[in-house]
Amino acid sequence: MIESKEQITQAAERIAALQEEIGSVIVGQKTVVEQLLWCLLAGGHALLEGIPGLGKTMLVRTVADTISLQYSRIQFTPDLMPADITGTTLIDFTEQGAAGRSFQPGPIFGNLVLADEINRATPKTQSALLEAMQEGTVTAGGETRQLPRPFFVLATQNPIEQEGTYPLPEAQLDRFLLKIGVSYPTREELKEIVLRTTAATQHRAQVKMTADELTELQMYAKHILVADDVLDMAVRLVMMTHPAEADAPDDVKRYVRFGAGPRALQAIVAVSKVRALCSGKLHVSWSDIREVAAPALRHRVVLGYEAQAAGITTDQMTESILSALELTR
Amino acid sequence: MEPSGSSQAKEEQQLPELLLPVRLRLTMFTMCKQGLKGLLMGSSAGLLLLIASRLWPLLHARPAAVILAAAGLLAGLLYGLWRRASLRDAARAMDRHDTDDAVSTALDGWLRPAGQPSAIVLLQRQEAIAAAKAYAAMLSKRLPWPAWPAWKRAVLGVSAVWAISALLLVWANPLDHLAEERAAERQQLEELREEAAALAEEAERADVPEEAKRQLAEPLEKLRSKLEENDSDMEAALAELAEAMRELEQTAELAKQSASQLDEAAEAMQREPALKQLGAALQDRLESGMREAISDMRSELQKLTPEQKEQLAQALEQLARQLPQDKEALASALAEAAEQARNSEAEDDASGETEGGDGLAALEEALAGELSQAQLEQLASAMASQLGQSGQPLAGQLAASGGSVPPSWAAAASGNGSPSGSSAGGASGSPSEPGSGAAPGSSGASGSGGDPSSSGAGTGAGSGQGAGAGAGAGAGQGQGAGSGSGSGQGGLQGGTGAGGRTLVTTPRTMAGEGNVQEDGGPSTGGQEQTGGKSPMIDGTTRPYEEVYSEYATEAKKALGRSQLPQAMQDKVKQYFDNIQPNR
Repeated sequence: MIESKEQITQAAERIAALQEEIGSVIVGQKTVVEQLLWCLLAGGHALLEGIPGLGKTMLVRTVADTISLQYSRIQFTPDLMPADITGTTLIDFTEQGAAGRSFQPGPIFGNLVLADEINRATPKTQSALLEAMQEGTVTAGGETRQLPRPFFVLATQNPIEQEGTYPLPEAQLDRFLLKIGVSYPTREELKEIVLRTTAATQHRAQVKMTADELTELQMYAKHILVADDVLDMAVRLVMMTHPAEADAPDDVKRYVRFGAGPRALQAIVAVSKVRALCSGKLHVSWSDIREVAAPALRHRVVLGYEAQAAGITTDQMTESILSALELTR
Repeated sequence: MEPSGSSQAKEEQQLPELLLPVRLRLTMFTMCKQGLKGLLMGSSAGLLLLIASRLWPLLHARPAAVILAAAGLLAGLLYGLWRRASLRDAARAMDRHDTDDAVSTALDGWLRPAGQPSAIVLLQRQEAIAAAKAYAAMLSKRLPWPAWPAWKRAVLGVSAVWAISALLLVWANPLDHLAEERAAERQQLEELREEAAALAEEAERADVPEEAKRQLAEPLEKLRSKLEENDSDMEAALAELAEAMRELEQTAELAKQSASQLDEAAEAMQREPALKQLGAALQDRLESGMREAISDMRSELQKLTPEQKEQLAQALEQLARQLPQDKEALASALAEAAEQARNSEAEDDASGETEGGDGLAALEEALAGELSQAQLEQLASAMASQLGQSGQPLAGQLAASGGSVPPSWAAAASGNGSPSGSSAGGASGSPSEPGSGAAPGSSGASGSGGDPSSSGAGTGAGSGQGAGAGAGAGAGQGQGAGSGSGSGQGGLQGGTGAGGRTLVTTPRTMAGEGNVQEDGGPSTGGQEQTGGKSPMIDGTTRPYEEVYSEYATEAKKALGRSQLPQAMQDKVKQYFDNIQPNR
């Protein structure tokens, strides 16, 4: 329970320290790191999208190092089977020769699971993650097993390669709290990356937070207050992604095929609370909503062919809605 | 640290207190904004009205434009007051600038306290109060008053509209006069409608037989309904009015003819000794006298010899035969009465007593009906006169506004009399021309403006037809016709204009130019009556109809008061008949 302002201040400081520690390994990508931490603190899963070589895998690994979480990695390939993820039941023979069954847990049984290049696996294999991501359980061999807590899936996908990939279904995408775009580093950042990775000694991130501390911060975030007005704005934001909505901007009506669902609103509010906590605030403000809107809606708003032809992105649609909402404040 | 109970209560009150000045200022902004909008809209509506008044005649366009602007301002202010800022609006205003949704969040916790607020709610409230205090300290910068930049467009709009409106208000509108004329026309039409209704009611109340009431009420009802259908057509209204007057005059004429026939019958009766009393009563139009005469006749019938009865019966039958065909009822009653008189002989033989019988009763009823014709004539004439009087301003108004006046009202429109234009004697001269009134005295003709009941000497200076009672002769340009009892009572004033009879001007001086004859009256000096009040003020001008109506009424009263011979009474009646406005 939050009993004093100091708790919030300390929480914000701890998060800042964590971010700083990750930054000591990962060059640049401050926004990516920040948004990834929002996901972890909100208890959600993140989908990182970016071209190969931008350090997505390293980022996830570094995060696991700084929070002392059990890290596991699944490299998704077309021949990957669901059991390769969830685990399988084996027949064991005792020394006396008696046969028995034992469950061999898959890599999903970790606190921080990196689903690398998730769109390379077949939909059947991708769907093996659904239960784990939503329920935090795995059902194999007719038995449901609880995954360790906290449990995070941090998936990566390559937006360029289309051959031999299986786009994630909408239901799967919706289960990711945020979709984080990993952009190309700047010149200065590139130089710094080269200097760090080619040096004789490489810095490894130190543990800055335990799993329990992370859980505590998650609890703090849930207590952050949200005003009715702010919540109304969040609701309007999500509603305005629907082209059939009367208030929707003209761009949305023209380019958007499907708007965001209720999980989008849940994600926006939950992540906004985390952002407020990170800022040391006790309440969510419109600026929090505004900041988290783009990564929360990016994978939930489906654009039409016209938008794709015109090179319109969901981020542009979100910005258009936010601008319209800003005028009504 | 969690705040203690007392400090918590203090904090709870702090938030609304900090919000109050912001709320008031926001309400002022809303009221000003809406007031300006309302003023702009009201002024624009007023401007449109002023412009419309340049295209069409609109009455009271200028005050209405001012009222519209004021009403717009008031409506805007009231709307602004109705949409006054709430605490939440004040919190939003703070959050927009400085407090980053902290005040709205705290206000939520304050407005909806669900039991004991949690620690984070109290902590957040403390933060919000601190932020609100900082905002309140900078209120004049955050919400500057007055906010001219925000109102710039509305102020410019109002200024422009007012400038044009002021120009239109100052610049004379030629259509204003026309609008006033039309309003006056409508008002006169309305008065005419009311008068028609009042006359119809009067006809209903009149003590005359139902048939006579119907004859009076029918044209009036028709007129009223036509006037109700017609809202603005003055010409049509005048035509309807003239038609109603014509019908009433026709009724009066018929009634007059009937009365004249009754007079002839009365004269014939007076030649018969047994019917002399009845004839005199009929001549005098006295219903009570008539009933008394028949009652006497009934009682006298027993005393008559059979020859006298036969003679009476023959006289009655002769009278019945002399009556015109349309007097069938009276003729029948006379024949029945004759039969009754003749048969009373046989009854006498049989029973030894005479009965009046139903014949005389029938005669009494028939004669009563005939007597009512005189009243009908009077009523119809008066009503026609009153309608004519009401129509004259209407015709004048229509003529003044350049409208097409119906031919029957042309004279009235030009100020020359009533639509029928029947001026007695056809005297010429304008009302302003000096003339001499009849010499008063015992002859009773006093100068105009005198007390109708007073006696004395004086010479009227009015022009037109002079009329006086007694020997007084109206001198001047009019024709005089007078009769009087010589009792010394004041007669009726002369000086009614003949040429332009519409208006009568009371002479300012009593010094006339005519041949003034003075009559000392009877040697006894006659009866002198004083008192009363002149309806006229020297030098004023009044409609002829009004003057006529008053004087005719006074004459009737005078006749009722004095025991004038029947012949003299007839002459007075004839005189007033001749000079009545609608002839």
